Amino acid sequence: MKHILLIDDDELVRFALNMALEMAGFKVTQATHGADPIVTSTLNSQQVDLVISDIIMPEKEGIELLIELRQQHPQLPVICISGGGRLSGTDYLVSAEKLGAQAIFRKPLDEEQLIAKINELLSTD
Amino acid sequence: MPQARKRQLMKEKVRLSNRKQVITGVTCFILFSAVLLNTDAFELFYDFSREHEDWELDEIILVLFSALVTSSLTFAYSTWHYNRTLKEEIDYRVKLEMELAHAQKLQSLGTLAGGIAHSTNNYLQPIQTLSRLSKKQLPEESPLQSVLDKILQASEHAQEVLDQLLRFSHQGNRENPVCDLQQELSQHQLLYQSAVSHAEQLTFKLTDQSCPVALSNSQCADILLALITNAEDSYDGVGGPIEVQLEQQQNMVQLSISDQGCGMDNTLQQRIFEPFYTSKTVGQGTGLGLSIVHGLIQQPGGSIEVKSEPGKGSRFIVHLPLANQDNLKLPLNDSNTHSA
Repeated sequence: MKHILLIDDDELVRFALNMALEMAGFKVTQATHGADPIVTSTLNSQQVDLVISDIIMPEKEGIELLIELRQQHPQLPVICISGGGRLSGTDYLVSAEKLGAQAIFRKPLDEEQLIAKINELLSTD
Repeated sequence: MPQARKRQLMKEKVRLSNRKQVITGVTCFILFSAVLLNTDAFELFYDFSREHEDWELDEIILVLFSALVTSSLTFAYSTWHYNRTLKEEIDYRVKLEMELAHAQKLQSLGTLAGGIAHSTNNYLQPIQTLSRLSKKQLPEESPLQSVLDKILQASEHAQEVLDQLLRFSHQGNRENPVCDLQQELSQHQLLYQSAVSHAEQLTFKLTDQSCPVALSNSQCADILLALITNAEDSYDGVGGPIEVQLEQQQNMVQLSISDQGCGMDNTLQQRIFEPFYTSKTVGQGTGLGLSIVHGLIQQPGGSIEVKSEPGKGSRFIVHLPLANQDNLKLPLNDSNTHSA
């Protein structure tokens, strides 16, 4: 069973995506933001196959986390999700893509498209 | 507001210039008196009148009178000229102040709109995902299927409005393409004519030169459609002539859309680019069309202005900087959801 780390500060978004992913047969670990201790402990246990991360979060933003992941776990696929830019003309999702996120989705996203993308990324591994 | 501000500025200027005049007057008086006292001027005057005792009184009066008239006229002219310059200066300053205030207002509305769209898009995620998952779990014939369809439908409508809000706040775009407005307009005349009720009323007057601007084809189409629909709406369903004009001016592209419809008063002209501001009756429009146009035009550093008089029609004039022709690409994929 493939293991996905899901990071989003919104509890309801996590609940919904978690349910969709579990129904599709994935094992999901949830974290509330980039600096959540669960993130480090899960990543260190080396079982994670893919990370789905929100971009605008308290404590540690998704972009910061993405940069760290690219340095420490260059093989790990990352999907960034966001509800759109905030307080700035730059689009965070575009930045995430440039910084090496394998895929980006604008919320609200279609979970079937997300799952299709996850399967595609995990099969090419 | 502008009238009050003009009066305030005028008062301030007049107060400053009055003070200056009093100071100059007093200084002149002191200097003049000192000179008179030092040079025994009264003696000189006395000698002068003695030597010219033969002068006629009416000659003296004539000379004095014409001197008085000349100096009065000069004074009146210089005052009038000064006031006119002052008024122009104040008008210009008030105009700049208002433009700045307007731009700042639209900018903060953009930030607000972006913030709202971001949070609300997050809330839509569980609504949509959980509805779809529930639909999968329920048997096909369950009456709840159609209920969930309605929930999904409503949330998709909300998503559309949010997309438009993000576009107003310039946060929806993800590309830096170039579109040739001249080509876009000449190739798709039929498309734009289909957007109005009387196709033959929509006429185009286009330059032969290419007019590349830093917007995608779909963004250009959004701008054109919104402005054309707006012109069409000014006729209140009756229809009437709408003219689209495109020309190249130095390093700018000027696009104007004119109608002879209901027109707008000054108050309305001030507010038409604000999101959710609409003069149309409820259900006729979201009030987002022109605010999106404003947002899109700002992206490549362009501007939009409106000239209008109630009952005489309106003219929207868009200025966009000419983009580098080398970047001209084929129509880009404009879907903004996912990519690998």
